[in-house]
Amino acid sequence: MNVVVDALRDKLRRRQVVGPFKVAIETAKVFLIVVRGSRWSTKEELIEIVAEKGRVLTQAQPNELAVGNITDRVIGLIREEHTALVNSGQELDANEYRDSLKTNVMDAIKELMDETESATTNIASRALEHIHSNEIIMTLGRSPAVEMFLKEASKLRKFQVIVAETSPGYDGQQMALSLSQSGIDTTLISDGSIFAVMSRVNKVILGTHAVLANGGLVAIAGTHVVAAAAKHHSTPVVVLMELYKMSSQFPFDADSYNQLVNPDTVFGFDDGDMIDKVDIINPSFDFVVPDLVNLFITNIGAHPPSYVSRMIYEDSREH
Amino acid sequence: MATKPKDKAQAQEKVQVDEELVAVVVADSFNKRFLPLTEDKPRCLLPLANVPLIEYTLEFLATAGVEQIYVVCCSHADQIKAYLKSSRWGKSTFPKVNTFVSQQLASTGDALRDLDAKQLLKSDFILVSGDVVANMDLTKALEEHRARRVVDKNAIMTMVVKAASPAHRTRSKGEEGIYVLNAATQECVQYRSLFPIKQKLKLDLELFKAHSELQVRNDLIDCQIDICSVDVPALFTENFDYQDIRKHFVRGILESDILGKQIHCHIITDTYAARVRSTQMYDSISKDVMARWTYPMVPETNIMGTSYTHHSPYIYKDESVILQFGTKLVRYVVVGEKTSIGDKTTISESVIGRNCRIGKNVVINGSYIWDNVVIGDNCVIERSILADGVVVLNGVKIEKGSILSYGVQVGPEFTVKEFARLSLNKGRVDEDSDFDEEESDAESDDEEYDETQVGEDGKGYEKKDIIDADDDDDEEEHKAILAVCSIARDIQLHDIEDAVDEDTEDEDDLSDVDALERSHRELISTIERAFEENHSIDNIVLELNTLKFADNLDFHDIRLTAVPTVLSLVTNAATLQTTLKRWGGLLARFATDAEDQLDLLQILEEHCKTNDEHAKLFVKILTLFYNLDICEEDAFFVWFKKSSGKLRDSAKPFITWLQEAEEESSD
Repeated sequence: MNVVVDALRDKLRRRQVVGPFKVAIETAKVFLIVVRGSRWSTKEELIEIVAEKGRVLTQAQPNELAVGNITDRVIGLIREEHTALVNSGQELDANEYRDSLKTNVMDAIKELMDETESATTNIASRALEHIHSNEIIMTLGRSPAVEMFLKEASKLRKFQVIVAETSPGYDGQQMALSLSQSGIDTTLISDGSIFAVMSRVNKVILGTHAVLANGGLVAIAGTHVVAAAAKHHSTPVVVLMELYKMSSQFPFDADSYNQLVNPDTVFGFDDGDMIDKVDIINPSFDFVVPDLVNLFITNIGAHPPSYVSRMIYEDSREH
Repeated sequence: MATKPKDKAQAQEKVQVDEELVAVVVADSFNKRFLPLTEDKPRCLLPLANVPLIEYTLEFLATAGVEQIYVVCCSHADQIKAYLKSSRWGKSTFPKVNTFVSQQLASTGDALRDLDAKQLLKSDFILVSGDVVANMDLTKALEEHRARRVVDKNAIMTMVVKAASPAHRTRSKGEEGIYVLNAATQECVQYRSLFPIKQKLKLDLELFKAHSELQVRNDLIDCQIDICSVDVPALFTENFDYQDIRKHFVRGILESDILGKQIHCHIITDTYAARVRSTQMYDSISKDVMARWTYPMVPETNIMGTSYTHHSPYIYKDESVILQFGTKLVRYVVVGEKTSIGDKTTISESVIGRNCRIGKNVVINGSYIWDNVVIGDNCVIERSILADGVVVLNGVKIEKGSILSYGVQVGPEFTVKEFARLSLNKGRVDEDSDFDEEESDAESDDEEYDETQVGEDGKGYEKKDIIDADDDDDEEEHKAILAVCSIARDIQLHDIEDAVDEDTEDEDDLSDVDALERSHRELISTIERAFEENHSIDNIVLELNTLKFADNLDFHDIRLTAVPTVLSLVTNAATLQTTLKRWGGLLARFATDAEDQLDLLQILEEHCKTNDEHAKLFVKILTLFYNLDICEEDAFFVWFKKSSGKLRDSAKPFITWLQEAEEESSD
């Protein structure tokens, strides 16, 4: 069991498992093994074990907030199943209790994994409610949720998409290619022209890396520019958020959620004279304050940013 | 028919076995550039940004998905073994880390021969040294290598190199190489190390016939990561004089027509890989780590279970660090666990280790301070390395480029002069564990420390002759490298830009060492040894050729040395005859064509000009040269035509005689 935890910890550290979806699934898988394989007899002991493993994994890569989210969800599930078991009125001795709690929690985790896997499709199925004919949509980066969302809408409606290329990773270029291949009228623009183009845009649809407790986004670098420009032009900003991206952490220090990666793509290492004299930073994320977002679309419905804290509260209420 | 599926299964199994990824880590540097720090600890366990170097290497290999890692250690083998056993690698099964101890290694070549003898390597493997820091994607290089191997079994090795401009801080000064590459296939067709002397690069016309486009590149950092096929250790075994993998092996392979092997380069551009070759590289790689070029191998990844966090601009500190209100961490600073730093202290571009206590009003700039160091109040530390347990008392100033080894104590109110190397060990135990201890000159008693070296309450000895007093031929090279390093530093950096002065920290007493001079001394001693032990001409020639190869000399250099050395045996006309009869063949072997022979005669003339005794014998020597077939007639004529001066005139009768003799024979 520890081997599995350590393996995931190393993978997170080495950046071999990246992105909220992969991280969420891998973490859930580990917890499945942890619940099955570890020694415990009461609910409290199990929660303690799960929390401990969750801590190890969270510390390995604090920027992958999905680890913490899944841990919280699993702990919630344990409590839920425990309550259900107690309220069921069955007379259980310690062994029976343990066995049935174990099976129930494992089933619940499997359900959670199913939910995670279908979240993106779920969100995409709401596309027609939000995208109307002849609209001009702007997006950036290559979020699988946004990609699927737009493609789903394009089956019935005709609209135009403007994609910012999203330097220095240029995910936007990939996105534009993929969209145009599936027959959507797509325009690729440079990041610098986001503001200029914004006046023509009807709606901004964005993906995100994580959503924090106050409804703030940790999203791919460049998102803040788009959101701020949209605010200036009073263009609605819609963020697609799978539930496993919703974190209970509150951003007291927004900088700490960022991640500065290898600056090579911003400025080549080979120019030795310059790298001595210039600080080159390459942040992966932008923090976007909740005021700049108008709507979250999750796999359980559409909500305003102020509702995020409510959702988190509801998630943990009964425990 | 029945056997077929089985065959298939076997084939599949074979493929799987082939694909087990193996890496060999050579955990020994085979040089002494980190002395006195490497007296007590091997280089791969020295901390870089508070993490032992070997951790970076192993983490890099683990990330690349290597399954078996063989760590070959030599000096301080017990320490490396103990460390790996107690670290997380000891229990790790993926990758599995195995250590091998061999006491008799003097080079990477020896390590590979040793592995070849053990027959451990059955497939392609990755060869790295234990002090590589990298975040490159090895799988791409591996795929390229394997694809080439499928097409041509002779593509035996892929070297990983990184593009970087010539004045780049992460280039090891004085150790650059020139690569001649086929632009399309990245095949390396020529390799020249620019050391010890810059030499002309001659490209054979044949090369242009074989390759449609060639690049000559001087902008590549050698990352010391090689993907080798199984043939490589075998080749090392065949050629027992290959020591260095670049200088000897790569050059040997590329210049050999018989082997027909190929070596390729894999150039990485947007990822990082570099090797800590010297203190200068230690400095720049530390900066690269802090500037996050090595991401995800940065302090806050916490691979050692620490709890570093990153703050802008480039400040990394552990949760348990205690800072005072007025403490100022400027930028590029790493501070390790449980370290406390006093009020009004300013730290910039430095790494501070674990459990350090730093006093008030201290200024630390560009320095590397390891664990358990105590620094008093009002100190100034400039671009130096302070090893574990160093104590710096109040009011000490440490000037740039100093290295204070384990447990040294300096002060109070004292100034450590620039480029000083202080150590508690008086004698010297060198890294290759041949224990030729030498007393440094000044000291007499164990307990007595020289106040002028370490201050009133100081403990430690200054080491002046760390690198100087060694006759081992490898060392010669290193001295010269260091000389080049320091010279390069002076020329390139002091002139252009004082602020980014790269600080090689390897220094001072070496700058007067002339590389060429060293090589010549080496040649002379080789020849003289041959005289003493009465070697055969063939053997000396072989030895000299090896030296020529190792030091990048040409035949002119050898002649230049050989002539005076051979003639030094000559004191009068009688000894001349016997000497030249016995040893003249040596000169003949290095003067095979007319041009060489002319050169030989000119060298002889120059020599005789400075030596009266030999000047008197000049004509006799010429005659003997002719009689013993060292030089041919034509060479004498050309020389006579070109030369002038008294010696030439004295040779006139001889030349006339020669001309007559020739005319006679042609009649």
